[in-house]
Amino acid sequence: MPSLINRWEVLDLTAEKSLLRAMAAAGLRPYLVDWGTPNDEERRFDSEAYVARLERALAFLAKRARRAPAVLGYCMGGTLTVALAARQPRRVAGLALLAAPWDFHADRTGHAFLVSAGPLLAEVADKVGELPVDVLQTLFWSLDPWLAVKKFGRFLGMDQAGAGAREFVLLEDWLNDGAPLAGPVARECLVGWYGDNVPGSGRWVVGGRRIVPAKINVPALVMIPSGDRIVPPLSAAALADPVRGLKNVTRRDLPLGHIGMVVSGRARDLCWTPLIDWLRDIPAKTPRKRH
Amino acid sequence: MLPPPVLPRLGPRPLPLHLGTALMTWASSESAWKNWKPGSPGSRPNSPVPETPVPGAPVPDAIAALLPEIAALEARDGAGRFEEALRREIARRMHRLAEGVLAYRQHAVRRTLENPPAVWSEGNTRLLDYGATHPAARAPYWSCRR
Repeated sequence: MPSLINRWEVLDLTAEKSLLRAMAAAGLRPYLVDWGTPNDEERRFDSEAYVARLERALAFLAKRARRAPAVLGYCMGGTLTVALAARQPRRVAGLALLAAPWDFHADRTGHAFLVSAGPLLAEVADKVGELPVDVLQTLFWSLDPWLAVKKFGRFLGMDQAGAGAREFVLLEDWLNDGAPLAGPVARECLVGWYGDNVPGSGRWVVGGRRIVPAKINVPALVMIPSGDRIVPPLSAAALADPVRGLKNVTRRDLPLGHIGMVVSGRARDLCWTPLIDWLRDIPAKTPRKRH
Repeated sequence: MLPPPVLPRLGPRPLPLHLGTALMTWASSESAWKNWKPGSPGSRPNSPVPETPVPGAPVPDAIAALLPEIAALEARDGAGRFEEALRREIARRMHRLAEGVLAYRQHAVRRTLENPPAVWSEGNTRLLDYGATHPAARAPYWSCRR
């Protein structure tokens, strides 16, 4: 499950830089959720509606595979996946979370603009029906206003025919090709999550069920990139906390960034391989007799 | 069959914000220098009637430390040379940013991977089956666990 904001292509950027293709080559059977661009109905979705959709996709997959699959969420997709595992424990064999935010108040460095503008932007989302891509990109800008100046200067210094420039272009295309965020879920994120820390304070209710990580028993892997400037490591680490975190959790800290954990030169060794090994070792949930 | 249309790139989005951030910051160096350079009202905090709207804040230590060096350079090469050099550097940086953005926008590379088929969909959400990308993924489940 990728984020609702940035699309899934970062998980399958090129034949070599593809977590999904690496999983398939290792003998796993990965399925990917492509959220697309919200249509008229989806523009009225809140997090509950998105989790309900994931539940239906999971039911389809469990039937197709005749066993409970492991679920894997990246970034905000990870936050939604926690709710999925809480609501469908018997259909989830394992829960892997990559840079998934949970405790939105654990480290608010750089969030001043986001928090102060949040309620106003939520009004915009209410009126427009969605939070437009350029507004979302402005929030990313606010985390590091000089980033574009630094990185486009660096890009100019690269061999334009080389692999580095090629990757820069593909990543930049992905970053700028985000989807708008449905109005109700935008309000939840801006005011509920960043403003009031609803998930991290144990008040997130999805379909009548309060989502409490400490009550989720499925085997879980929490991967935390220590250089993450989009999801603060402390926010993701809340899911691996010995008391408040997931009950049956393995924590892995990676010396990578938010995007680097899935596409950098070291992603294969430091993230993909341990992730694939962990997924392979999950006990089967609905074992059938061996022939 | 015609190839799919290539859409023009919009990044870095929103472009006016990125360009504006750079322009405002660099241009403010030039206006700050006008206030801090020797002889300007702002450079003398006790000046009774500042001629500019900028309050007569003291020159920051980091700039004050450079003033003798700048004065020595201008004494050698002529008055106003530092300001000219500052303006050149601001223009160079703006050009570099613009060239970097244009190089990205005009780059020939596009993602060309073929996406695997969707096996389920609801609204605009699809479930793509990456088992189609490698035979190892399509092997029976138990065969890889034996």
